[in-house]
Amino acid sequence: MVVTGGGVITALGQGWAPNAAGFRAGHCGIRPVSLFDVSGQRVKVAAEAVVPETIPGSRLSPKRLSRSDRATRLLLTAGHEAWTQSGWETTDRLPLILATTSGGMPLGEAYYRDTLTHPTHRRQQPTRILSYQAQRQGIDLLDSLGCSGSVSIIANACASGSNAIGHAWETVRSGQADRVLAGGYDGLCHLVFAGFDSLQALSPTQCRPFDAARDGLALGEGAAVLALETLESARHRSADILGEIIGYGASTDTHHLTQPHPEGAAALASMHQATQVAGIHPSEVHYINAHGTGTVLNDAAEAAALNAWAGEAVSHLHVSSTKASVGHLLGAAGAVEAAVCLMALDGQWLPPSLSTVTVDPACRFQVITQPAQASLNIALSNSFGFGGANATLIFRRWT
Amino acid sequence: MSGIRVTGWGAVSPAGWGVLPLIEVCTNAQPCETAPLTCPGWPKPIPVRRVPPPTPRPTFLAHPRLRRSSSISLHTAAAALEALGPRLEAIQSGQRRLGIVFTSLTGCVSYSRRFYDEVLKDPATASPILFPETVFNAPSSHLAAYLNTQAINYTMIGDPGTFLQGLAVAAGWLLDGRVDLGLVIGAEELDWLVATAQRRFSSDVVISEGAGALVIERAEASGPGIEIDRISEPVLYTAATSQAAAVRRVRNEAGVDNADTVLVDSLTGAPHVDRAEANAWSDWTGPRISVKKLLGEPFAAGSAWQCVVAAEHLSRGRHSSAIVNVVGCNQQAIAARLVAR
Amino acid sequence: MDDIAALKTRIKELMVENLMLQIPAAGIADDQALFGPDSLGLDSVDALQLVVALDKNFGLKVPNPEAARLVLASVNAMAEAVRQKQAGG
Repeated sequence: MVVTGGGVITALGQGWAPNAAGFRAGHCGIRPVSLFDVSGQRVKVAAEAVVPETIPGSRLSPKRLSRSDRATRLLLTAGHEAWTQSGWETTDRLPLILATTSGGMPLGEAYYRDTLTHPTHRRQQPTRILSYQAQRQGIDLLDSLGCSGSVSIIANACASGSNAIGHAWETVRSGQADRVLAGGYDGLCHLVFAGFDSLQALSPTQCRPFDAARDGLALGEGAAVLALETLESARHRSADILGEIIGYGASTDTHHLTQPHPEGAAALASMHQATQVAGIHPSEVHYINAHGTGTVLNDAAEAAALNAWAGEAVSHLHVSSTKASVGHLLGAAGAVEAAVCLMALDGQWLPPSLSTVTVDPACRFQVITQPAQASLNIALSNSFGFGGANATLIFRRWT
Repeated sequence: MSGIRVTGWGAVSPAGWGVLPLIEVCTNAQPCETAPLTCPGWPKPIPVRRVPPPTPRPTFLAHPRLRRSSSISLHTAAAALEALGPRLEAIQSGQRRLGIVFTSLTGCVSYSRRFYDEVLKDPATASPILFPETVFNAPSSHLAAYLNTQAINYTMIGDPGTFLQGLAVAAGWLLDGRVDLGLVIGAEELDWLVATAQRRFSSDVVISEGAGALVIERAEASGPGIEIDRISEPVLYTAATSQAAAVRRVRNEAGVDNADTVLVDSLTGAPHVDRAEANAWSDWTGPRISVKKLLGEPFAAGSAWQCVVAAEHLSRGRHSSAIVNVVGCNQQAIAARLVAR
Repeated sequence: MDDIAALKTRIKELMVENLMLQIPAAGIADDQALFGPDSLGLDSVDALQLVVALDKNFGLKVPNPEAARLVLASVNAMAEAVRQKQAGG
């Protein structure tokens, strides 16, 4: 099963190529928050994206587009780029599998603020209620593409993106569909930003994944969508192939609602599942895009899991977290990081996290802190989240 | 879809904690009474149907993971434990892998509202204890911790049709051999924000809350049991397909039926909300149960209750097959057929 | 001395309310360990919530995790910290 289309938008920019250049160089899109008032917060920065006003090729009416919120426009931007690159014709049997944690939350926030000031006021309120719901945002994308089919929304906190792409892979692999559009999206919103800050999870200095002195994560926003189809279908259309998905693992960490088990037992389980399904040995993995949030607990647990999973191959393992560049995109993280793996495999480079200076001694693997060329054939992406959702995807270069 | 059996079911509803009170309400066709819910700034209280407090208080509510959780997690755990019944021990001991699909529309809405309200007042003192419980997958995470199961666990959000999508996902895991048992849950919690939001669309739908759960397994033995005969493809409401057209398509695919089939529909009792479903199924002459007319509209939990009522009726030999028809409020129409083997 | 007793009772009530404890306020002993093995079994999220509650209700600021470990060790420790804040003006 292969990837024949991809679309990405993050704080590094809009489009597959600009993002690939940004990740390759290790650019950082974390900047002061402008979307909402952060004066009362401990931390004032996030990786905000520049969200386009128009969506070229969209079949949505200008009125409907003007009413769509930030997260929907991030989704539409990535969705249209993937669609255009795939070259697919419109169909009414297209499964759309999406990941999100907040959907149209800013609309929910505006709805709530209005109910406090003038409770029974009608204007805009019904539209906000509808467009706040993630399934409506999924339908917006299908309408925008002139398609229909089904919409499945997976909300597994920060692992959603990898779960959605993994579920899409299994949907094609089990013969339920020969092509699926899958991805993840999340826009920054005050409720979630204040939530992570209330847990003191946001870094008051700088997000430094796997650094011995790391002190928290940075939030970001964006979307990534991939067009997945069977090899036969892609060959039949002689389509360009971005890469191949060869493994998916998913497990649940029952240790704590927000904290991983210190040894990363569930992370180890999802990585084992993925490698088993892919039929490969850890030593064959050339790049790992870690979940790597930059919090003390996640990176320690993930390091323990990576050390155990790789065994004696651990010292050759190249690992980085691109959350240093674009922050943690929550529901979109797994999808954007899948795209990063495909970019790295295609371009034969290792995305660095420039902010990591002193690698935590617990990491027995190599943390990539400078841009580097490399011959890569297989890449692995981890995503873990609140609630103990753990997911792993494995990609192979298409030659 | 044959080869997948429904082997357990559970429910928490305004009728009470358990399947029996739910079935009793349906058998007597006696709507649960409503209670007035006062909503800030709203002229009059809004009638809703609440889940009564459990008597006695179940012991599992003392589990540390459920201490800080909102009612949706408590209802989810109760419905799931009832559905699992005797299989609980084999799961908690790790002998059998349990895959969980939790579905909801509004999710952990009460803590989300309370937390955002505190953020508006002063982000520096917004309660950290509330925020983790606002994530959509908190209920299924608490359940996995209680059940001590580490297998695949999805939270899917959408309109009430999402419960049947979740049923198909869990069935797929069973057919792939990824898990030994599937647990599919629909749950919703009541909040004034939801009740007032619903009022903007229709003033005669009564919002309610609760949870429903199904346990599914691969049909090993050939003995008697309830089998999922088919789950239809969902038909989306899009720019090209109206709700009425989508409901008709699902109706046509369901086909004509023998007299021994019960239709468990999703009518709410509010005429303009029910119009598409009422028209599409106006030719149905067989037995019919409208769960939401009796227990209100709890979105994902309502679709779960429809499946629980269907399974219970089949297991009591009242009918040989059941159609569960779900007309979602803003996403899709979808139906499932259960048959007694 | 009764105001210190009243303060401890108030702190226990705040704990039950803020942490949604399933036990009555009187069920918490003054010197009972709140964190760690065979304690009341609170975790870091409870700790953060207590820090917010002490700030909101007594204006007591607990600046960092190290200070929190001391102040939040037990009801006695919290009462002492509040009393010192009130005494210190």
